[in-house]
Amino acid sequence: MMTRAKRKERVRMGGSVVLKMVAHVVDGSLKKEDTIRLPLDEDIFGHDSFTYINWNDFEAVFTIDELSGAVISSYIMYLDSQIKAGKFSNNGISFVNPATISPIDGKPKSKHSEDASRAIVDRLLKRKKRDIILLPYNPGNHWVLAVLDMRKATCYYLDSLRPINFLEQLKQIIDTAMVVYAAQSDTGKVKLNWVNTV
Amino acid sequence: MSANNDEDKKPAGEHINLKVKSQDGNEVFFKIKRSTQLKKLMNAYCDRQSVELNSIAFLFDGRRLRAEQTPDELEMEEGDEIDAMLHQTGGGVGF
Repeated sequence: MMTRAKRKERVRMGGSVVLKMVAHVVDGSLKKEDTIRLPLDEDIFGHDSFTYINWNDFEAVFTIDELSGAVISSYIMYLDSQIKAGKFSNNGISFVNPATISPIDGKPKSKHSEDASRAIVDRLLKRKKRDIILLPYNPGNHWVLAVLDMRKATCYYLDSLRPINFLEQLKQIIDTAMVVYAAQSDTGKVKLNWVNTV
Repeated sequence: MSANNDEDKKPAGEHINLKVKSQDGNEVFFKIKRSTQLKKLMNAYCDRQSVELNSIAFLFDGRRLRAEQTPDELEMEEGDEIDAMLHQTGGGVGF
């Protein structure tokens, strides 16, 4: 894992003109101790939320370092605005808040697992026919993504490290959520087909 | 003590109601003394959520709260909101 001291030695990506431009703007407008509060509209995650983004978050992007949940949520906020502006042809996408499904201390406990399933059920109930659900998940110092396609009853698992135990963790949470959702929404029980995308 | 002087200035009472808002949209209310360190509120909140104190950042007015600060010191007002945010980071491989 990157320590803060090591991070200082990392150089910003110089190859991308866009990144360079953004880095320039950030350097000029954001002090190291500043935080920016981003309110996340209820429609994005199905509930009212927020995140705070700071200088370190931008620096992590510029140096291709470990990303915070704030960066992931900000990117989702951006994607949501692009979808609403009609930039994508497929409008059937909804997002789950990574802060509500990831284990808080990086240590999965049964209480966390129940809360996470509950959060997914709540999202499914409010998805307004947007049947592809993106679930960014942080099992601790790592990000993975599950893509749940409700029409095809299929869940895709994307993990650049491919450790199977995270898949099992997330699979248990999502499978439980599907059982509760079936009961609450009066739709039939669905057995999810899991695809581990390598 | 200055706390006594403050009491004289603020007849509204020495207690204050604060709201802690989490990223899942839930809100928890706390009533604490204006002169009490916020450590007490933070510990109570983390106990309730069964999480470690260092896994959550508490923010008020865009600033991260320190455990030894008090509502008086921060000039908090009745009903003020504190945001509770989760620490999460992670990378991938192959970059």
